Amino acid sequence: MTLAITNEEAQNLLSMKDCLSVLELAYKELAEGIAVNRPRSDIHTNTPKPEQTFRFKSMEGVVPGLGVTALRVNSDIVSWPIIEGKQRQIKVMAAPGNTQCAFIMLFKNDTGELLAIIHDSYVQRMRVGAANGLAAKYLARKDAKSIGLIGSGWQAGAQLLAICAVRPIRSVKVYSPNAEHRFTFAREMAETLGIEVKPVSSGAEALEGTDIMAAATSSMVPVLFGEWLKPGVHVSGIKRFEVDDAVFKRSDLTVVHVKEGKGPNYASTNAPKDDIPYMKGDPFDVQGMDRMPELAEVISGKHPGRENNEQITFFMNNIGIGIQFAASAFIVYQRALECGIGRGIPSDIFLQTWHS
Amino acid sequence: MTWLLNNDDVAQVLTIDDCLEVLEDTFRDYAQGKAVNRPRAHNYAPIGESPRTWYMFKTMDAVVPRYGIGGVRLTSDIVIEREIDGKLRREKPGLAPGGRWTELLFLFSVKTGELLAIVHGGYLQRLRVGATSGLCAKYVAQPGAKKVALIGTGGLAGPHLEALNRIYALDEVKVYSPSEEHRKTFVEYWNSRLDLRIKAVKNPREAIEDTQIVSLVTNSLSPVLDGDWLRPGMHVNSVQRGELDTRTIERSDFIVIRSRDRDTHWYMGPRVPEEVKFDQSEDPALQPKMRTLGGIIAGIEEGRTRAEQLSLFSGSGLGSAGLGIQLISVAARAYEKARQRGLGRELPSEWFSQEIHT
Repeated sequence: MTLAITNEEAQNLLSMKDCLSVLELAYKELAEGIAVNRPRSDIHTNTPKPEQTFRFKSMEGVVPGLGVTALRVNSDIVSWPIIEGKQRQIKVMAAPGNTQCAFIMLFKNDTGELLAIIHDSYVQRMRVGAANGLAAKYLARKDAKSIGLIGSGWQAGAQLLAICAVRPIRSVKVYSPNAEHRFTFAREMAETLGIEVKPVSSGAEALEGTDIMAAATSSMVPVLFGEWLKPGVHVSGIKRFEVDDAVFKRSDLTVVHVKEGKGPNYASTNAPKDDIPYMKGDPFDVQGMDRMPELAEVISGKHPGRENNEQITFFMNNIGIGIQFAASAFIVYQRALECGIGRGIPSDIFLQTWHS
Repeated sequence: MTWLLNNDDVAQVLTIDDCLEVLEDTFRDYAQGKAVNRPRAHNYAPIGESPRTWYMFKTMDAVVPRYGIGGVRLTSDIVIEREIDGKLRREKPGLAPGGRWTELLFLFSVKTGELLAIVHGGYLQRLRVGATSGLCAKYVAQPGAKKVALIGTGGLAGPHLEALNRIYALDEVKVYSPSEEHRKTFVEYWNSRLDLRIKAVKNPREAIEDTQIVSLVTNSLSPVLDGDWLRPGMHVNSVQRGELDTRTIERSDFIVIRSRDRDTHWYMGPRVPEEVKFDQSEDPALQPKMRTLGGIIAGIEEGRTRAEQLSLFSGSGLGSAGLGIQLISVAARAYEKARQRGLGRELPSEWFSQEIHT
């Protein structure tokens, strides 16, 4: 039986705590060279609408310890408009019913069969948050009690959930340029986490005096600056663009998610290469990355992580990897089986009676 | 709306002529940068204690704007390397429920991003390998070829025969396989389907005597032919490096490959499978001999320039692994024809699409 699982169902099946522990296991296997990842690749071509580009994104990972493999695909229609002088990336809900086609396929290693088809969005959010959560577990001071956060979107919430699961956080300050967004976000997160979450009116104010500084925005320009860092702080980032170069310079220990992050960007001759911001330089390439440890090395103990309370540590979640999807989807699938959730599809419709 | 096409559906609509036509256009588009391909990835992970057993997850992506389709093809297999009669072979047992295999193509609309179809890969994979060899022979074999040798009688042999016969209207085909029974069955079956003389022979040397084209279509990891037996002017098709001896490669005046991009990206732990060890795709000595099929079709690169040249169309392990564009294009044709005929099974699109964006 193959299970089809929606975002709404996945939300009830995968907690942040479970996501953190299963990813921890996957990273340990990665550090041992047992788990494998095929780095993400994107292919671009134009669509009949000149301002829209088709972008096909895929990545996969195998986690032998869990006996599963995942392929994650995003079949996106994207545009990069200039809004108020700043370029942004917009995903167009162009599929029927105003939807986006994005899903994870989970396979069983010892039989090769397709176990599940899972919507992408919820798992995607959790695995990004969990990677930063694990980084905080190994890099933030043990007694870290406060978080300053820039951003109030989908990923910002996941950052808070993850970091609060690994450190005894008592207070959070949040800033995002839209006042309504930050108030709503603060109210909702305070309720979810049961701690004080305070909306503030600038990034500097949000990060002032906090033990952990996090950014989770869609900004293509820096919002978190090195001059704000104080000894002992841990910085948590999910995009290279969000932090200025001074963050890298002032950090005593910078850890990247993975070094072999991204395969080449492919594009057909008709794709609007000049309009695609990351075609001009690789945003996943962090300067001096060769000398930085990867998250998996810190988790596995190959690298000591934080060594004293004065160090400034910085985790740059430069790009996602397939094993995150394999590990998180494995939990979603297991719990779905236990709880009888999801639509069962006879597996044989995805299997053939011969091979080539 | 998402459609599922199984091998029977594909077999009902897809012909070797479709494949020849679609692949000719697709390879030309690829050479001109219009179609895009992400080279195949082989992810190997250990299974159990046996040092020669792996789980292998293989993917390749492609976008072919001509058909308005982008997508991915995947196989999810257990691979075992085993010695049989002193020769190393690579086996993929069907271990999914019912003794089956997973080989799927996912076709997405370039216009909307939606998943249009999931297509089983087995049937069209065989057809496209045969059709691609036929296409290469069309451009680089000697004009007016009448005789072909087939070494191997597995799943890829029939489509090779069909494709070459479409291109050249053959007189005679000689077939060799180490198993007498296999070659007999193969010859009987194809003699009843094609109007030409197909005969089994007892050794590979006899098979290639007086033929203009030789197709090697085996999964053997040791040579099946001695390169010194080849004669000037011949064209050799091969599906993978393991079946070739070095002499055949040395003697070839030029080697036609599918792509100048990487043959295969491997991701694996410490247990290294045999295919990685003999990969010769990046061998600098061979680069000057290599030219691409798309380039030749598009007229950007030279094919055969002299009658006495020995030409080789290589396969995986020699700079010419199968490409996503081939499979996606052929599947797009099967999808289009299946829709016209009302074949296939509908799947709920909401399994694959979501309202929340990421």
